[in-house]
Amino acid sequence: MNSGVRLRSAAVGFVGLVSVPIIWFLADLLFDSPGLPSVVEVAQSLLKLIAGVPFWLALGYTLLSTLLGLVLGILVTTAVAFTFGVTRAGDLLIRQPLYFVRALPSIAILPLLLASIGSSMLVGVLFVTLMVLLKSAVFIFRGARDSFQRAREQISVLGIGFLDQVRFVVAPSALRTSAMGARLGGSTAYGASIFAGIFAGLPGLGHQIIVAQVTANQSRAFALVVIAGLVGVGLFKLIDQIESRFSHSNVGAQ
Amino acid sequence: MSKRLALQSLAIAAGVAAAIVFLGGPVAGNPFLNPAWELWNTIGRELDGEFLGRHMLATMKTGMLGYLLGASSGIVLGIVISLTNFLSQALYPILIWARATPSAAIVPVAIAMLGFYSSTIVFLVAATTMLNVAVTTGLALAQTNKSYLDVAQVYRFNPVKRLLVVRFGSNLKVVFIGLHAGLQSAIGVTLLAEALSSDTGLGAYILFSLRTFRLDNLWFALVVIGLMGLTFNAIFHFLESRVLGLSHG
Repeated sequence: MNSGVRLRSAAVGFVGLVSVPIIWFLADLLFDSPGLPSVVEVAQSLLKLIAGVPFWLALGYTLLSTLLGLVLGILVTTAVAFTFGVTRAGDLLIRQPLYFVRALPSIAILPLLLASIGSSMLVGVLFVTLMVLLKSAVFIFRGARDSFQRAREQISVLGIGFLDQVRFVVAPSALRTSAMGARLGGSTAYGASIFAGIFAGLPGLGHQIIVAQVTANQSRAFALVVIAGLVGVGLFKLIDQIESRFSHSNVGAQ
Repeated sequence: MSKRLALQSLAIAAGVAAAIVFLGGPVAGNPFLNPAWELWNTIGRELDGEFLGRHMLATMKTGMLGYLLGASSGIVLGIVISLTNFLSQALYPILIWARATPSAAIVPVAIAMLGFYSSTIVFLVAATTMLNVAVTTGLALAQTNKSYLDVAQVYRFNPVKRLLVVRFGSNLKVVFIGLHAGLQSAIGVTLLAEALSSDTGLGAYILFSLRTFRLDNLWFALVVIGLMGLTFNAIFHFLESRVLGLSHG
């Protein structure tokens, strides 16, 4: 795409983005909806939010639990996948349980953790880790098996020692698979972190949203949702860049 | 084949045993919680007409209705978005923002705005599904392989045929990826919305079980939801293979 086309595309995107608050403002003037706050109220709430320390603490906790859970989840899954999932028997053993757990949404897992362990910040990280593990496991196991088969063929051709096999063949394959798993697990980790705040009252953006909802502060709740979306966009861009750096290829939006 | 079946049965048995050991140990000493091996008793006690009608069928009905509405409107919206470059470029940042917003964040705000009705849950499920499907469909159709479009022009396809056969037909696989992502989010949104706004459905059942410290009921709900998800996935993949098989033929 040349720079002219890119500039035009960005300008049209900007027009689209600016038109949302204008349409919202006009809709508020034309229709009287008690549940929908005006765009001015939401903007004021947004400014108030970003001026306060509690919001930044909540955002920090959400990002911390998201990234920590994502890294831990991917590391654990990759380690297990490259240890047990690379053989045909291991693959057959683990495939059906993985398909079963992949179908489980957050709301089926978190209550069990809360009832078994209790509610704490550590449970939040544990929950995010578990969700990343469950959702990305099928992909990482498949990636590990494919990478390992390719690696084994290379090893047999090169005829190198065990440590060099791990260093030059298995480790790069594991890193690439992990990076691609992180891209898939990123949205799960972020969603799980927000969900933990909403459902279990763990600190973070989710908790701020549910507090705004139960205190009938709709404009604050809307402002928080807007921020949650913007943070999500930034987070996914960052993960995408890390993934493409490690994998040296971009596999597309899908 | 028999070796494969034996290994898979062994895997399921190992999973159940691990769950019993994992939860049975730390939980057995807690007076408020029941160990996982009571799952069989719980199935016998809970799996009655009330559970099936009031919780399981209610969730399936609400979720499926919302999903079907969202999936069909998402495909139409995706096609409309892809029709002009201007529209797809103007909507792109908004759709990217909307897709990056976790549905868990939207559910409580939307419930407060729309009220505690079952139609609210259907609307929420439809809206999140529509978003997933529309973004995937719109972006895929907008980036259709140019050589396909050139061939369509050489054969003088009319605009409708070009849109439905060339653009939509060649991207059917990607559309199904969006539909699958929509299905996953539809199940999650249905359960969360039920937990926050309803006294029927599996979401409400989970919340009630958590508040009354019924760990056995939570395990039971987990198994039911897992099996439900597996069934929906299996049906989805069956339909996908049939449709994609036909489209390739």
